[in-house]
Amino acid sequence: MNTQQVEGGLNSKLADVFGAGFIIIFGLWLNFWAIPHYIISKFEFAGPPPETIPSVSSLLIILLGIGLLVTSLLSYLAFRRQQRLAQAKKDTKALETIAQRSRRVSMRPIAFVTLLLALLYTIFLREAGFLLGTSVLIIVLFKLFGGKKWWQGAIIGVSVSGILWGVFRIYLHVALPTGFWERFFG
Amino acid sequence: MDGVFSQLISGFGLLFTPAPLIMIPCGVVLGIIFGALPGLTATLGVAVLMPLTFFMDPVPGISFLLGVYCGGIYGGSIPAILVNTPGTPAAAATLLDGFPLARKGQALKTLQMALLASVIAGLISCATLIFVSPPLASLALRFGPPEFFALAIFGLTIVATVSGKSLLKGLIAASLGLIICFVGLDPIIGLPRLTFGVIQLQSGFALVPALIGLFAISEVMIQSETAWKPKVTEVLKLTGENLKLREFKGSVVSIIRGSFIGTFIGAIPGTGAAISAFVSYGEAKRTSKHRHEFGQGCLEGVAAAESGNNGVTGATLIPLLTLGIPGDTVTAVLFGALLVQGLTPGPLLFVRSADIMFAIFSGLILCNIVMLIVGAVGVRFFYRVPLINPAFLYPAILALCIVGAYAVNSSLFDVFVMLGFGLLGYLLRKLDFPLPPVLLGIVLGPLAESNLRRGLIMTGGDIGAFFSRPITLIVLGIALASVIFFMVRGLRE
Repeated sequence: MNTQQVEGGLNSKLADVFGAGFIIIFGLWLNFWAIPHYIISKFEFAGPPPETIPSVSSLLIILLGIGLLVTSLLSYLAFRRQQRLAQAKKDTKALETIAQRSRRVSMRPIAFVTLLLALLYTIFLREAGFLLGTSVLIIVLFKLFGGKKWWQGAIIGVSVSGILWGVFRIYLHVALPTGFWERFFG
Repeated sequence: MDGVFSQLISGFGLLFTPAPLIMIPCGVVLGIIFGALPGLTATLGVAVLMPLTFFMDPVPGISFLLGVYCGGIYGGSIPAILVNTPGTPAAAATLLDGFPLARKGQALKTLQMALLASVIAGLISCATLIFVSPPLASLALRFGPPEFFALAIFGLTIVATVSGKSLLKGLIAASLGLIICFVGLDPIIGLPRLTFGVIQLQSGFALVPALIGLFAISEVMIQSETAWKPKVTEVLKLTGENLKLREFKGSVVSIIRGSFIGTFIGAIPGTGAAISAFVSYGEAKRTSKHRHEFGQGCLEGVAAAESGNNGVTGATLIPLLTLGIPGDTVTAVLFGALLVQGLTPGPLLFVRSADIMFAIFSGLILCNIVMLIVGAVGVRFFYRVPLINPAFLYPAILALCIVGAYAVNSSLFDVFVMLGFGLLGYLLRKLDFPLPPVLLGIVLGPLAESNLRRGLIMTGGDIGAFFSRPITLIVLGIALASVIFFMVRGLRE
């Protein structure tokens, strides 16, 4: 068992620590907004102010974030202790068990590229028009997701765009963007 | 009882018009396809296809979504049996005996048993929904704001405690959902909250784009990481004889028991088809004369698992329709669909729109009957669905999500909201935070807040008065007990 596999387990516990930290910061930011507004509103309005539940929720999220931070830190420290003990004893079976119990958090760039393409499509949708924009998006994603032949992607892109156009524009009467085609065809 | 039957017959009258009769089979077919594709789920199918229903009447629209739901839960059994991969989490118990049977060359009868068990369980669950809902709704009419506040908190805590492996992460997810729902104008005084001067945020985040983003876009992002490497390259052939009557009779008891287990578990918020499938399977194994065959290819095991999972389909609607409390992700999605149709879930639904409700109940009965026909006739098509290349599938789903989010208000802002929630959903899933509590927080937050504030106005600001009401006290007590129970269990582990 090499340390690479064991090191992979660290990421999930560290990710929990960082996640908890972010949650606490978010809760504090929300609290700094909610509590003063709550106090001001208490004087301005009769009855429970609008910030009642946001204030409670922000306090709750801070407390839960602290709880998660403590538990994930303890879990990480326990993991590291077990790992060091197993490495010191050269106990490969124990190292395997530790690796199996831990989880690696990985985020691949392709997921963000997919989101970015969807974002670009949305930004240019009104200019390109629904049919052209959607066909191009599907063809590009088809290649990105491992599709081999361009012509297959083109068929899928055009047919899916056409079906969606037919269902939403013609059957459901949803006004979809026509883009620059409108200048030519009215 | 006579009133229920006569209303049901009227419901069928509303159902036998062209639109519902076209949409129900379409929904069932699409649901089976979504369920049969590993990586997609019935919930995703309902979420992605929901925008199609906005421009339809309530009866065909909601019946279509129920068809997707029922079809999706059954559809998960197809790859479970033929590929040893459950198409939906609910089908995880089916593969224990389904795949071994298929490997023995009995794939056809196994699929037929799964279909029959699913349909029977769905019909029993639907019958329970029809007979339990009206009296429960009548009882709920006597509830006041404190009771509805307590029910909203109960729904949130139960889902947060049961979803996922970590109680803390479940509660954080629920709190996050609550915070998201506060963006916009305060519902009572009308002051903006957390809008940052953005005019479009004054009405808050639209539920449908948020929902599609959290579930569908995050799923596309996660699947994109492995889309270039298709998970399913081969399915077992559809071989063997048809299911015999004798074989079916041998599993009838398990099917009936599984149906009632599914119905009981489905009616409890926070549980779901996966839990009931395993409970039903476990009970069948415990009581069967052939218990030694379980796990090695036993038709009774498949029947028990499938009846357990489809048994929730009707019952899960009980808390949604009678109390306005969605108990799981699918009903939270249906909550949104009902709102868009102008139907506010809750006890008043049976007062103001009883005819539509019974038409929807009739639609659910028809969905199960159509599923029997479609599943039997289409088995030779559906068994190839798991082979669809993800490179064809996910771009199409992404395009459908975008146009669906756009179609809600013809607004690109909603699409940006959807993509933002997609990113949030992706990050939460990577960090092992469950998504159902987030969604339920968004759905139940306004209910909890408005009822809390109305209740406080009613009691002159005295929160203690809430606890003098027995139903409020009991419901909040159960919610607190579940949190303590799971906290203690987590500490022990």
